[in-house]
Amino acid sequence: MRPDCSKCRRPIPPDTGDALGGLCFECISGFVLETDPPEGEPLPLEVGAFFQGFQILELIARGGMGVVYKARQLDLDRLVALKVLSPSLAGDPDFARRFNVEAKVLARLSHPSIVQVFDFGRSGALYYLVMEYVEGGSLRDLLRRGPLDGAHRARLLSQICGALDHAHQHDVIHRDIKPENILVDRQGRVKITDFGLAKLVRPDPKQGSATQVDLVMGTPKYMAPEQSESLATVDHRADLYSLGVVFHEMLAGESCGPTDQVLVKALDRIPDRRYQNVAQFQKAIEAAASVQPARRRWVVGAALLLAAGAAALFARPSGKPASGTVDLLRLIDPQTDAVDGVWELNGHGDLISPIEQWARLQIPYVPPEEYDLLLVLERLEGVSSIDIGLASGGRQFHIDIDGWQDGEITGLNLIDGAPGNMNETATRGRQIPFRTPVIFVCSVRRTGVALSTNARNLFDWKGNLQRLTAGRSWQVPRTDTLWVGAYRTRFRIEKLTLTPVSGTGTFLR
Amino acid sequence: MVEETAIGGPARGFQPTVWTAVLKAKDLASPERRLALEGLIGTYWKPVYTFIRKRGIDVEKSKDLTQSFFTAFLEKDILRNVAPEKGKFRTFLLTTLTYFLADEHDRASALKRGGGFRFIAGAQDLESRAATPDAAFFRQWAIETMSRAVARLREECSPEDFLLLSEGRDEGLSVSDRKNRLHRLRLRLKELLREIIRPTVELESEIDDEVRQLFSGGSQVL
Repeated sequence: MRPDCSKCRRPIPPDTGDALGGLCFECISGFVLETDPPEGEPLPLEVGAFFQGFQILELIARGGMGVVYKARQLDLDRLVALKVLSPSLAGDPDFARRFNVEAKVLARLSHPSIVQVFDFGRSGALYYLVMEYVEGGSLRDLLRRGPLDGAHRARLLSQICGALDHAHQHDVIHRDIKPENILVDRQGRVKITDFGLAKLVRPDPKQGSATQVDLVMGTPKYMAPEQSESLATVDHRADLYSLGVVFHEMLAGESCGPTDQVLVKALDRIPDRRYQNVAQFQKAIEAAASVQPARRRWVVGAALLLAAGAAALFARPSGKPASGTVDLLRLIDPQTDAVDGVWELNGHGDLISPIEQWARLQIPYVPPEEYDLLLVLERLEGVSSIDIGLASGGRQFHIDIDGWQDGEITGLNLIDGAPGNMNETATRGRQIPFRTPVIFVCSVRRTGVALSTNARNLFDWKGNLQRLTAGRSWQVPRTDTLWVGAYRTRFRIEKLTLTPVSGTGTFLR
Repeated sequence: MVEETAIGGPARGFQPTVWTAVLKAKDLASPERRLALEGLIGTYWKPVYTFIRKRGIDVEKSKDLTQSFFTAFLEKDILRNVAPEKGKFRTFLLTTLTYFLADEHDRASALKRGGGFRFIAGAQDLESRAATPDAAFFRQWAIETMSRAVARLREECSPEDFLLLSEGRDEGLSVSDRKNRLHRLRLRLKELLREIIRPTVELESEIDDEVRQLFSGGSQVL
C-alpha cells in the first residue's frame, strides 16, 4: 500500500514514491512556489511599533506588493486598511521618489468604486498606504461561490467600468486588474483597489533570478501581451485587456455570439484593435447582454488562448498528430504555401490576400474529420469573394463568402455539382463590409456543414459529405488539406484557428 | 512492493563540473571528462528508463537499453560531433536517446561492450503517469531533480526542520519561528534546485528557464 502525500492526502504516484520526503510533486512544488513573506516581514504586533496612531487588528491579505492589515485609526476611530509595502523596496534608491509621485496621484482619485487612499508615507523602513477599509470580499470570492446571474453581473460590470473610466480620465492605469483586486462590500458595491501599484512595486522583469521565477509563476493570465514585455510602455488599453479576461470569467461559460465578439475584440493582442476606451467596452458588453445567452461556444476559449499570447502552446512538429486548438495562421509560410498569387504576412502575423483571380494558398495541415473553424477577416480592397477551403475524410469542398459583386451570395460549394449560389445554402447579402473585421464560425461535421457570423446562422446544411466536391478553379496540389482563396479582393485574415471535435489533424511541416 | 530507488543509485553530491567544460574538453578520453559526464547523467537514469518504457518496451529490455545507452554515451564518442553551442544537456540527451533507439546496430554493439557497468540494480519496474515517452522523460527528470534537492536538504537541515517540511509537524514552534523556518527551507530548496541544474546548462541565465520547466514538467502528464 502506497502512502498518501502528507500534505494533500492524495496517494503518491508510483513514479514519485518517497523520493520527495513523503510529499507529492505538486505539493513540494507548491511549497517552493508559495508566495514567501519577504525576509523580515513584520508580524502584526511588530508593525504596531511603526504606526503609533493605529491599532493593528489582523492581517487580511498578502500579495506580491506587500501586506495588508485591518487596523483602527485611533484619533478618528475608524477602520482602515493599512497596506505595508515589502520592506525590501526600501533598498531601491529611486523608490522613494516614485512612491511619492504615484501615491499622490492615487490619493487624488476619488470615486465611489475606487478604494480611497487616505494617507501614505514612510515609517522607518516601511512604506505604507492608509486606505478605506472594505467589509466584504473580492470578486474572486463571489466567483468561487458559483456563476453570477445576468443582472448581478451587469451591476458589477457597470461599477467596474465606472471606476476604470474615472481613473483613465485622470491618467491612472491600474496595470493589475484581476478578480482579487476588485472588492465587493456587503451592499454589493464595487471597490477597486491597488491602482497603479503594480508599476510601483513590481520589479523589472530583467532583474533578479529567483524573483523572475516567482513573477512568471504569478498571474500573467490577466496581463495584456504587451505588459509582459515592458511595464513602462503600456497604456490604459492594457487594463481593458485585463477587464476582458475578468469579463470572460464572470460569464462562466454563458455566452452568445455578441459576447464572443466582444471578447475577441477585447482580447486582441494588438492594442490598436481592442476597444480604445472603457466607454466603448461598456457599450459593447451592454449591447451583448441584451441578447439571450446561448450554449457555451468554443470561440471564447479559442480567442482567449490566442489573445493570451499562448502561441507557444500551438506546437507545429512535423508529421505529428495535432490535438487542441491549432492556430493555422502560424503554420503558413506564404513563400512555400501560395499556389497562385503573392500572399503576405503583415507585421502582426495577419495573412493578406492578393488582388488576383483564383488566388490560392494551401495550408500545410490536414484537418481532423470534424472540427470548428474560427475566422476573423477584414476586407481591404476589391468587391468579390473569399473562399475557405475545407476538407474532411479526404474530401475537399469550400465556402464562398460574400460571393459575387452583384449577387452577393454566400454558399457551400459544390453540392451534387451545384455551386453555392445555386444550391440550398445560397445566402443573399454582403457578409463582409469594408474595413470592419467580421467573425465567422464554420462547423464541419460528419452530418453536414454550417456557417455562422456574429451568432447569426448563414446556413446549416445537413447531408452526406460525399455529396460535396471542390470547384475546379480552386484546386490546390493536395486533396486533403485546408486552403484559402480570394477572388480579385484583398482581405486581411486576422485569425484562423481550428478546434478539433473528432479525429486528429496532421501537420505537414 | 516496487523497489525502484536503486535505479540510478543514491542521490549524489553536487558536481562542480559544468556541461560547457565537458563540451569544450580537448582530450575526449580524459578521466576528468568521463567523471564529469558520469556526474551529469546521474539525474537522467529514471527519465531515460521511463522514456524507453513508454515506448512500449518491456521492463527487462528497457533496463538493458537504458544501460546500453549510458554505456554508449560514456564509452563512445557521442559527443565528438557536438558543437559547444548545442544547448542544454537535457535536450541533448533526449535527442541522442532518440537516435540511439532508432539505430538497431548501435544498440546491439553497445550491448556487447557494456562490461564493467552495472547501473541498474533495481529488480522492478518504474511506472509513469505520463502519457507519452517525451512527457514521461520530462516528468521523471523533474521528479528526479526535485528528489535530489530534497535529499540534499534533508542531509543539511535539522531533523525538526525536515519534519516541519515533510509532515507539517510544528509542535512547540511559535508562529514567527515556524514562519522563519519554512522561509529558510523554501529559499534553500530553491537554491539547491539551481545548484543541481547549474552543471547541465551552458549559461547561468538558462537556469531559471530550467527551474520553470521543472515546475511545469512534474505536473504535466498529458
